[in-house]
Amino acid sequence: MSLLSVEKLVKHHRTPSGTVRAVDNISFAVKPGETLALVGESGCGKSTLGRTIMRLHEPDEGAIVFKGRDIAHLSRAEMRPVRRDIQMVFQDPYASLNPRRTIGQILTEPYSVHRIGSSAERAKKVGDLIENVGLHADHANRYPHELSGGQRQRIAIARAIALEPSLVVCDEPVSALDVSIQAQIINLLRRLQDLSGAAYLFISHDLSVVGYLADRIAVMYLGEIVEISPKKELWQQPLHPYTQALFSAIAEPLPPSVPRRKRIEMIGEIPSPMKPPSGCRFHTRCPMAMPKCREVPPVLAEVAGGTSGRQVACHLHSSAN
Amino acid sequence: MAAENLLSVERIRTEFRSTRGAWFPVVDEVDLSVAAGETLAVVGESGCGKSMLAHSIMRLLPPRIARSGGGRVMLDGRDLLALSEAEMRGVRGKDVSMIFQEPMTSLNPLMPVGRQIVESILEHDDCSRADANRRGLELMDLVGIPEARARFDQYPHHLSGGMRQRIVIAIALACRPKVLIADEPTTALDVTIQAQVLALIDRLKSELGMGVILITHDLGVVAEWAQRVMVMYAGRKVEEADAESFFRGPKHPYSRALLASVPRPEDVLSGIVRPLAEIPGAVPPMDRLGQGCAFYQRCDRRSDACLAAAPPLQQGDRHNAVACIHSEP
Repeated sequence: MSLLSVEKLVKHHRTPSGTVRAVDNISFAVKPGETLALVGESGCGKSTLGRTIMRLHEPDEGAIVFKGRDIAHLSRAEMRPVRRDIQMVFQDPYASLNPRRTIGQILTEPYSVHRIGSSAERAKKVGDLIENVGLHADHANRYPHELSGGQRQRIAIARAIALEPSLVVCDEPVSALDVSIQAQIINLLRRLQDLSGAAYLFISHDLSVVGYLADRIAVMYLGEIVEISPKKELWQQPLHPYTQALFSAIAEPLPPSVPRRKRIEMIGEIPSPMKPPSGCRFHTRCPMAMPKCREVPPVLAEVAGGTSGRQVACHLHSSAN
Repeated sequence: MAAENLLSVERIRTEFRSTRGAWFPVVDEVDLSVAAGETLAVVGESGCGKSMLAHSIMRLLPPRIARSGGGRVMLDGRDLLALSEAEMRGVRGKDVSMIFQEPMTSLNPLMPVGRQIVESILEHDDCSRADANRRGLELMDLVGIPEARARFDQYPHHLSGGMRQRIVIAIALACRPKVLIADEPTTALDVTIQAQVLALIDRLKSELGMGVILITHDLGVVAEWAQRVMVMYAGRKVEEADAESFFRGPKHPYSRALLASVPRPEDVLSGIVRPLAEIPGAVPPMDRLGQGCAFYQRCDRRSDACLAAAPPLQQGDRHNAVACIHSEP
């Protein structure tokens, strides 16, 4: 059974210059304990999707079924117990930690908000958390500005796992960090997942990081999922022309003499999410576009004869052809 | 292969003033050279001095807090560090150009992009405005901006991040500089746009015979676009190598650790996931360096001998060099 099942989710942002169709009829599921990565370029809607699942944005349409219950339209009060179970880690830990509170106070908050434990028990739990994310007990008395970027992200992660959630939405959690620090945080996220069994929805534009961390990968383009697949199959043979172009652009740290994937150039620029193209949204940039692609939007569906669990939204792969 | 160097930097040293008023080095006796048609990548974590090095070459650091502590920057038989500020203004943009990470901060938001290119041409070249307009349009074509004539009169905010960075490159190339210094030129861009912009710089480098100094923290970018690599740590050059030998086997423990900390696509395919190599700790602040090797605290090969003095740079074949008493170039 799925831990999270997103069904036909729609979130449009209304702006003075038009309606941004950030999340447009998206469906996918996350299984308990797995890491599903959401990848795509800026403006594809991946962060809006994560925030809508967290109910930081109000969904316009569709269902967000978490542990068998649709949470898309729960009231604030009804959401409170659910929030214990779905937590989020943001890109910029500095912006997400209150600068006037000590690390100890920041980490005590989840327990006091949800009225868990006596003050002695809370202090013990906070001590364990700090140790679990690889910091020192005396960090409890420090303020966020006294820590490095990597240490602050460790605190943000500690806060997210404090209440042992079943799902952690990670929105670009390592993008602002240097590679050596990135490695520390990636290892930490993996280790904590092994210990806790939490599922991760991992939002990232960095395909190398995603390739390392994810079990499955969903690729987004202009508010839609164009392909979703187990990682290894996607890496070996991306099916959607957009996925192919995206993966062909990865710069790999290998000796220059080692052969690379052939770079697939996309035509032109990403269209505005306010006026997505008709038919397949990728057809304006697709090197393989057919007349049909201009008119008929392809449906995300299992690939005929493909590995189970592989879905792609592309007329080249639909069984109707 | 041994093309003549366009730019050679010799033992350049730059010092900053600490809050207590003492001067300390942020770039410490660094040598580098770049030849026509060649890309030299400068890599390292934030705070290792790579941007300081670029700004020192361009003399862009504010004199209130920074000063030159010696060295030479030789270009066409002239030492840029010995020029007056007025002479240096003639060099920037004309002989050596620099592009930065965030294109928006190097563009004037109130001026159409075409005019920004034209102004840059007029500042350095003695030509008519009509000529400059024509060259501006050609440059926009050259850097791959579609419908250049229509875009000429648009303002920066009308363009996407990738297109803005192309405009910045067009401005940087307006006077056909001999050397282009690109400081994290694609860090703010998406991966497909990154590939397009780097391919553009690479093509123009060959067509115009420029030398390129590419400053980046992304080792994948280095492997795909640079011929030589220089690794900096705590303001010093700790390793230099041709890209092939570097990615086959970096010599300095810091270079090895950097490379091992990057997630690898091979891991995806093998299905066996080992933890990434971590470099413990962080780059030390430059005003608090001891006398030994600056990497000592974080190094997996450290020994007491490393604390005696900062390890000298041992020169090997061609440009290859390493500053570690436990390694040979």
